[in-house]
Amino acid sequence: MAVPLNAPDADLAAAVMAAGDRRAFGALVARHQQAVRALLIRLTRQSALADDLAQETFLKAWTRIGSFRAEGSFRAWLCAIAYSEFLMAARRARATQRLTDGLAAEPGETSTPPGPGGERVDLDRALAELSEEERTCVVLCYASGLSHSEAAQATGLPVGTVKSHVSRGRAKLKLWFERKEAA
Amino acid sequence: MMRPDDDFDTALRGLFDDAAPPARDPEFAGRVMARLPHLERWRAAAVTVAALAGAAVASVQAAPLVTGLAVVLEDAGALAAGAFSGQAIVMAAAGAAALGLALLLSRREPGLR
Repeated sequence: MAVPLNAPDADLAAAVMAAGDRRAFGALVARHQQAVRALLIRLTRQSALADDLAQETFLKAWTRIGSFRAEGSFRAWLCAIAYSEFLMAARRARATQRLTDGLAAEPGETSTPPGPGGERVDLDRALAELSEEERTCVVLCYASGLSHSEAAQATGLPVGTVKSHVSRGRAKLKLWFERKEAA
Repeated sequence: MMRPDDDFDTALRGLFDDAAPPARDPEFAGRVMARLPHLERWRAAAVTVAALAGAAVASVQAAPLVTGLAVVLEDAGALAAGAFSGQAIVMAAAGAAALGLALLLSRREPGLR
């Protein structure tokens, strides 16, 4: 019997694992595409690149679905793949110096994040002050809503390191906004 | 009691909530699904053909065994008035087993690549 499309993530993933159920996988893509794209836009600050990496993330998810464990969060598992895709893309781009230029650019110059609003630009500028690890951990925990342990699973870092990155990143963001208010 | 840090946490989460969601792309899932590998049918066909070929070769090689099994079946009275030969029944069983194995293997395409 076909699994209903509104079934929990674990049930849909089980249907994909058991029988390669494309319909169930399509439901998972539709359900999580926004979160994955949002994460990758935050990490890359380039919406076109983020969309490409998001597609690669889901293609990898399809081929690696057997490695998903139902006791974990499917979104955290996807975020781990997305982060891995981001790292690989960054490594490739660093080799050719193309993405590095894009990452170093001021938000709004080469990136085209969707949506209006000065707060978004402020947040992007503030995030640019963080190291890559700090930004990743802050985005995973605050934007993607992962717990520290889920973020640790996604990044492959120890939980304590994730906590430290989040704490430092958060402190830097707070300082950045305080300075902005004072200015 | 809420500390100033909690206030900032709340404000920060609010900023991400307001700014984070990219526009929902209704075509995104379609693009992903179009790129999924279409290997199931090819895989099933290839495995089925290979399995049947293997069964055919094995049956030729194992003709004495098949004949022996047919004799056993005939002795046990399993053949209905000689409508099918014992060899045909054994070959049909081997073919069905090979087909079942091929179908089973072809079902686990995700994760096997």
